Amino acid sequence: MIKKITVLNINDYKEVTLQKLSSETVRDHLIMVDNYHEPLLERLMFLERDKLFKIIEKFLRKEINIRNFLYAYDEFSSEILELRLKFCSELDQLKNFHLLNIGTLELKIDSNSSYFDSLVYLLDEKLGKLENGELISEPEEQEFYELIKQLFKWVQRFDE
Amino acid sequence: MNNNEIYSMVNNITILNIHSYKKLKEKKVVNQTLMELAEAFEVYEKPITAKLQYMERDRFFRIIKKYLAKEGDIYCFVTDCRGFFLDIIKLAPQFYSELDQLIGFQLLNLGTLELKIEANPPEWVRLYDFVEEFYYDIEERRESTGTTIVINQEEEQEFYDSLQKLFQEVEKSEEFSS
Repeated sequence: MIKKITVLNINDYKEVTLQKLSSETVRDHLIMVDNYHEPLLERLMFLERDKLFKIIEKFLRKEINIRNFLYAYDEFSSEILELRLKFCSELDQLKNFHLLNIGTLELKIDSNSSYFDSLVYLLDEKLGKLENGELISEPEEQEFYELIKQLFKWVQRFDE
Repeated sequence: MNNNEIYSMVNNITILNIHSYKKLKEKKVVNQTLMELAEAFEVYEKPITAKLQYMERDRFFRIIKKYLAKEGDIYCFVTDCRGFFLDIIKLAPQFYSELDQLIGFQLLNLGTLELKIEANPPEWVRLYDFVEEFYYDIEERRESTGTTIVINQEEEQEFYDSLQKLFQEVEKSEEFSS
């Protein structure tokens, strides 16, 4: 019922990036990630979700194994990262606008459903394990398969 | 509680939704109606112009001060006002073209861009509206009679006194805000 949105204040973005030029601190970096990069990344992933859904469907039909599934997800994440860079460069262009002198520009981004975010979180967690060289046992794979199946049902039911 | 206190408590802002501006512009390309034109003016052009006038207020104040100090007569005042209004009209297209550039941004696919413009103080609005109305009244008379400026001495004195009062109010509020 309550529509959640993330508000990106372009004026703050301008200040932080200018600050970063003179002295980039860990705090500046965290502000940028939490306030700008993270919400953009999450929303882009959601906007491109059809591609992710196709990968999940393949895994659920057992056309690909867990390893190939997670690598396909990794590839999808890399594409999203490239898209985000493009959007961040647009944010950089906004900084130079004269319009900012007469007001504040805000970018409002709708937040994703928590089901979608849970699904992505689970995939990230499992991919991290694989990248660390950890082995995924058969019972663990089965458990993961069932979890993805259940979560995916919820995501589809409440998809916008 | 006086006007200034109320104003400082309630921070008025005008919000321009760039997403709506985009839709409006796209529609205008296909089929521009009078209603759409009026909507674009009321929703986007007017608040930007009003803010530009306020940002350039120091120049406007100099014109008023010159007249109140009797360094220039009413003819000179009306001519200076015309110059100021024309300069604002010249400044506005630069801002509109930036709004137009925003239309092409991919970012708009991700959400809604809003431009928040703080509303101008009421004292300023009263002063500006007063001078503007007087100016257009004089211009209308000039056009209909064909002479330079039609204003009698009594009317001019009345204008001078009102302008002085309104300007004093603005100066007080400027002090208050600083």
